[in-house]
Amino acid sequence: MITDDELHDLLRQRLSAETAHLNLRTDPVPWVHGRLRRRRNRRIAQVGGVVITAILAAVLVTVQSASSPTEAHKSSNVLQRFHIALVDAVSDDVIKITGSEQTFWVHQGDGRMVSPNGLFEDVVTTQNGEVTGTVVNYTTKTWYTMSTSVSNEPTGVVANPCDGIGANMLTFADPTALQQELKAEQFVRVPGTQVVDGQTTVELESSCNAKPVATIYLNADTLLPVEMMPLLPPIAELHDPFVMHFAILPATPANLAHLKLQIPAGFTQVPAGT
Amino acid sequence: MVRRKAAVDPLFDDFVRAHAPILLRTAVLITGDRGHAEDLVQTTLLRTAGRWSVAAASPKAYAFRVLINLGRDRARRLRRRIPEDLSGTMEMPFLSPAGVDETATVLDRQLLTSALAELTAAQREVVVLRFLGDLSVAETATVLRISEGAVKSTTAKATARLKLLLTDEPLPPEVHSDY
Repeated sequence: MITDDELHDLLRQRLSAETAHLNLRTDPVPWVHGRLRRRRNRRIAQVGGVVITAILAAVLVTVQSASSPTEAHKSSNVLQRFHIALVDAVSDDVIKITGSEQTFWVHQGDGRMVSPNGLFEDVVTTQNGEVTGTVVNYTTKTWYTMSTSVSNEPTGVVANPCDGIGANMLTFADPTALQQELKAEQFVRVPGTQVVDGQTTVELESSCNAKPVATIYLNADTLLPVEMMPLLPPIAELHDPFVMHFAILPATPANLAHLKLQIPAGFTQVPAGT
Repeated sequence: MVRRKAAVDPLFDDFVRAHAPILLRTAVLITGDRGHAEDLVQTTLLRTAGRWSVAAASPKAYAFRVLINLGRDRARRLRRRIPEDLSGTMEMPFLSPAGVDETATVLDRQLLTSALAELTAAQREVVVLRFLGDLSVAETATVLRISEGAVKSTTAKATARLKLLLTDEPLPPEVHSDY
């Protein structure tokens, strides 16, 4: 008579033996990375340029407006400068943002953003809440143009400012909505310094209604941004952690050349979102 | 202080390489359909990746929980459309390795698979997690969100049923389990 233990061992042996040949048809690791990259690219292609430039502008104005980043900034003066920064800040510079797997080149002056790495975006923002751009897929050798409305909400109506920062970052492009979000947001310095990318930095934590939004590291001497980690979805959930490294570069012809979209010969135009 | 950071946690890749096969085998035994099983595993891996900061503490249990939940969702959807007869939908050919035609082995496989299909969904989950996934009672309880006592009792009932089905032995008057 078979005992329970013997039956358990038999079950283990049989289940293992009879399913041992079952394997995924493709290596799951590159597949998972590819799917994550495509998901992130789709989202970043839609909102990334707006979000990154807006956050960067906010960071830069935080730096410019504060004699020392040791305070929580919430004054109307700071908010005003945040707002102005969306249009004016670093308009003459080229910003290189190296993401976890992609590099973005941003020119705040005309709102262009290019990511020349696999999936190639050229996003141009306009003032009426539209994001237009061209997406080139090097895998399928296709390209398409996209146009996305960045805010369907009536101007000035934001039910929960924090929602705009995390769940619906598209509202970053709406100046009125952004202003409301910024009213609820605070930048607080974390005591001490840290070495990031070989630079001594101070750390700012950005939060909204006590909910962490992002961690930002500024060069302790120049107070220029060095690194940022969004902490809220949708970007944060796609990468753990999703890190952006910043380099503020002069607008030389060589640097500006990175912002020129070149669709390779032989690539086929397809419907948007294909 | 130097911050340590990584764009992609290499531990996630290690986890995928080590456990994707067992997740697939578990999904096949739970759903009885290799195609659906692969879909469930892919979705499981994506969700685990998306929540790696949470899953990293116990990735195997986390992934199994996602997989089980996806399997249950699928079963619910099927029930809404047509009553599910697992014994009828269990695909057998995939269990036979290519080029091997050993009648006795195939019959054994059919017997075991048929026996699993005779179990309730809850019993099948417990058996597969415990004896294929090699999860402990505590881990199984965590994955299924039931008590350890429930895992033990379900395991006892399931193994007693399998014992009857696989060995043709009559069910003992009382089934005791000490794990």
